[in-house]
Amino acid sequence: MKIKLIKCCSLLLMLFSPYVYAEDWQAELITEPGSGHLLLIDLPAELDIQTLTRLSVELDGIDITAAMGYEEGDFTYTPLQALPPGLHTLKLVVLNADGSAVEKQQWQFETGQEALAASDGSAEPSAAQLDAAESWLRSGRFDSNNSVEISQGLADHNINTSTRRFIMSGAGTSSGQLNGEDWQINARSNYFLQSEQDLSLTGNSLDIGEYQISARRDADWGKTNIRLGDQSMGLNSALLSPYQRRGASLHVEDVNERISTRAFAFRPDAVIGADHFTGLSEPDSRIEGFAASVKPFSSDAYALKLTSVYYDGKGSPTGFGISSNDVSAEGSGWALALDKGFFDGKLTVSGEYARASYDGDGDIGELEQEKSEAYTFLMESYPFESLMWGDLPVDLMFGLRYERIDTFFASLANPGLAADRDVTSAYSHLYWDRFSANLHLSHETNNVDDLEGLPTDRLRHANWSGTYAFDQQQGGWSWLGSPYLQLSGFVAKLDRRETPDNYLGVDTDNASKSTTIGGGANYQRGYLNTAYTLSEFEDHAQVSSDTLSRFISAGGGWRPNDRVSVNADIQYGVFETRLIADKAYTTNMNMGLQTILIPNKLDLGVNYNLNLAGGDNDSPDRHLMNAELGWTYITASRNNPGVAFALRGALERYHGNSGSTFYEDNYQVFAIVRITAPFGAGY
Amino acid sequence: MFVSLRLSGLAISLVLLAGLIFSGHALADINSVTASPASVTVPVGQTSSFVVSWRVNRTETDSTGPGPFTRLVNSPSAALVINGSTVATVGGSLSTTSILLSGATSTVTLTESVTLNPAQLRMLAESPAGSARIVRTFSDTQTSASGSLSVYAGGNNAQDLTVRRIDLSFQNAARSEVVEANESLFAVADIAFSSSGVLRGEWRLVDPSTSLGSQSGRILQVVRQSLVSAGQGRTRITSPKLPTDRSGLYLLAFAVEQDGVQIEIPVLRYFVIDGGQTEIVDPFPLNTFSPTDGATLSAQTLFSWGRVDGAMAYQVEIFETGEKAPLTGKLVPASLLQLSLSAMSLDWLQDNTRYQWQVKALGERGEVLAISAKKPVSTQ
Repeated sequence: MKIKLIKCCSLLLMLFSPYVYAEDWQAELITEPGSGHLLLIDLPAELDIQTLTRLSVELDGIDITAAMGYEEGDFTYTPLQALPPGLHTLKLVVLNADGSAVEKQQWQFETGQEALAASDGSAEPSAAQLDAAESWLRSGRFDSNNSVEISQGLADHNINTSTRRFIMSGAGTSSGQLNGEDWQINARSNYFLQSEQDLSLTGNSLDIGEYQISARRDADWGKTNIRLGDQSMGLNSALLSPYQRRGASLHVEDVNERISTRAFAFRPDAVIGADHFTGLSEPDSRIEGFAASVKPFSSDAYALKLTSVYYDGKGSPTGFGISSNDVSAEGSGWALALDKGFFDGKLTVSGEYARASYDGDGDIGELEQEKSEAYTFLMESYPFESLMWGDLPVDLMFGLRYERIDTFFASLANPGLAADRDVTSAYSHLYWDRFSANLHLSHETNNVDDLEGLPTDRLRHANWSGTYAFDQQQGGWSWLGSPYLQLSGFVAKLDRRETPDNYLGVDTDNASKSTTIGGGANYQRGYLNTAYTLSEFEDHAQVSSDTLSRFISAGGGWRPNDRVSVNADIQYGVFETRLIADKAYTTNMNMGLQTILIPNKLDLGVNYNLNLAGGDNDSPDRHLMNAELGWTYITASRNNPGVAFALRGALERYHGNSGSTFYEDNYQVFAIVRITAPFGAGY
Repeated sequence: MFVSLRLSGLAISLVLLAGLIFSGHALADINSVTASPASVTVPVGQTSSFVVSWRVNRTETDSTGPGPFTRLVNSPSAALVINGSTVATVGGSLSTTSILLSGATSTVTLTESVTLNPAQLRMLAESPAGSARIVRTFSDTQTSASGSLSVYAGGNNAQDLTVRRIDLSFQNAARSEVVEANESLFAVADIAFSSSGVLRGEWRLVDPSTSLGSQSGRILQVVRQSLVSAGQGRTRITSPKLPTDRSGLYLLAFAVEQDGVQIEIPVLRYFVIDGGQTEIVDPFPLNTFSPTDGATLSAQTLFSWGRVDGAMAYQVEIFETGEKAPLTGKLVPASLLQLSLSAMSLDWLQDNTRYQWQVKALGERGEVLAISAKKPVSTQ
């Protein structure tokens, strides 16, 4: 099943093929055509060379053109790995000279257990399956992967928690898809089982984590997409964060993508579990709004586009996985954005104006509603099209960004946004051959609202990074594998730009700098990396202490064969707080071994972790070793649950030192029965 | 007898109380009230608190006896005064007792934490510098005197580096994950901070071997990262590749060490499902060179990465935020270490939307030899 990546050969064959022009042609998909291939696209013999060189093939959204073979006038494809069971979509696309892509044909085919075997040449797909796929009839699939662990504590010592000895724990994911002629419905969810309430996701023994149900229709006039559940708007706006929240959205777009509208309603806080299932049930914890885009003059990719966003709502922008002091708030906002590309996309320009209203304590507190504004202007340029240096492509980009966010700007739908910033930044990125470099310069001031009693500070900041990857070393240097070097750093200076009259508050005058030197090497069966960072902070205004941080890290992994994997990493840091002459040392080390003693039967995993904190931050040394020995009794496969047994344990040791006399050992051992149940079906 | 004792006790109490309240004029004097520190600079933008100690110096002038005399020193509230007008009450009642012999002078100290809300801070910032004071009037039941401290508005850098908010999620924006063994998994801590300095953080992990019992975590990685801002800033810290080699429940946390404002440690959970393995496929990390984080995608954007020995092909994948399956991507032979997306792939992407990308190195049998962390890109 080796892939035939004969792209160059294919191109040559195409170029020397007979020149035949055909206006309207049809290709045919043949699955399991023999010769070890999974797919063959039978192209008409009379196809002209101009069309042939513009063809691209996409499998499940992935452009596989470069991995296609060209044999006897047809495209062939054999994946490196058998395709996962289920329905797959193959598209044949014509790329036009103007950069547009036109779908020529589309097929669906299914792989299952039988189909997977068929890719090894042991079975044939049924005629009914092929008919269904080729005629684009209704189809569907369902996949589910589940695992339950039943644990019994065998021994323990000095374990303080009140965990019961008998514990059930498990989780799973399920997804399904239904296809019609021009519609598709998808659903997916994960779920957790946990008999210990403290360990459970939501306090319930069995609960879902996150889910999404979506329905999509591709009609002649455009696309419609409805989503319910946990989702991200993904919008770039000062008003809306691209975070994931629970709610509902409706997205409608015309076929030329000139008009696009999205209506949404979601909770401002992050929730998991079945409670608040829709995310829409509580009016006091809901954000509602819409986003609309229009290209008034052209559907061209770089045509002028206007985007508007509006929302209104109330609630707390906190929730699961979020730590903050935010309380329930109320807010609304609107934004208007423009985007335009020039010179065939070599220059793109965009700008946004956003206006937000925010009441930090909602109806109940004494805070008044703040109205504030934010402006963003961005200009990016790839000045050279298909730039080549020494026959190698170059990625060279320049950017200029201006951002002005009011002193008290806050958006309920974009918590954590850094406000009170007037920033101008210029940046550049270069990639060529094995070298990449980034440079970023910025000038930033605060007191954007120009408040009378507030001083204005200024930050000047420059940061850079560069990487060079060497060729794979040969001969006497082969031990270096494929090495690379990395260098990055920054300097920043923060000082007072304007001081109000009679101001006797603290001054601002500090400087930061940091340098990181690193490198590593990749090998066929391993990797190494290391880095050293020196960071210095000097506060000449004595608001806070000067600090010096030195930090070195190294890591690596080694896979000597397919049944053994070893990894290790170590970090050592020194942190000095000069004002109080405090020096803290931190050492952290991890080592891991994973091995399959008997394939599909017996495996062993061991991990060792060491934490040392010394100096003025002295605390007892801590060693933690954990291990699991697993025996697979029945190997799980699709629709055939598997059973495994395991012994799992951990040994933890606190070792007192000069700063502490705390000594303690504790351990625990569990016996585990594990049931794994992957299910799947399709039609 | 019992009644007369009760009456005489009551009389003594009344006399003592009267002595405290009506012990004649000029029997005790408050000489001065001073605040320490004499001035504070408070960052504007969010609720700010600071500690102030009031030192009340008084002399006991009651000469009716040698003493000691017990006086109640109290202040009902603190006022925020701007341009001579009281604009808000910012502190509650403070009181203590002062016991002095006749003619003695001493100082009592009362300490409080004063909190100014954003509205008050805004008034402060809008007023001329030097015009704002916090004023307290203390009384020792005989005389009263006031003290004050000056309050100045400052940028958020008028304090140490302070983490204000941590938003912890997996790289696909989910907050709960169920993954298969050896599946690539990363987490991201989105951190909002004030001021500048070195962030001292730790990625902590509780493995399945301890999640059922002691729940003892281990430090997966120590983080030391310099953060700078002119007042407020925001950064994203990506975790190391999370362990997914053993089945069971894992708890992941990101903890920061800081003085002053304390913030709780957010915790995520993920569960690894084991499918029974015939070989170990634990992908190594893969370095990427281009595009930069957050770059705007176009047909000219180059995706590039480091070479992986033994790779037969590389696959660049683009993900919608929150999705585990790639939306689109491109597969190229191992002879190529960079690619651009064709119009066919770009057609999958919505305008003005954020996505994530990663690259996988595929081995001879399609196994994932190495995988990069997901990085953000966006469309115009």
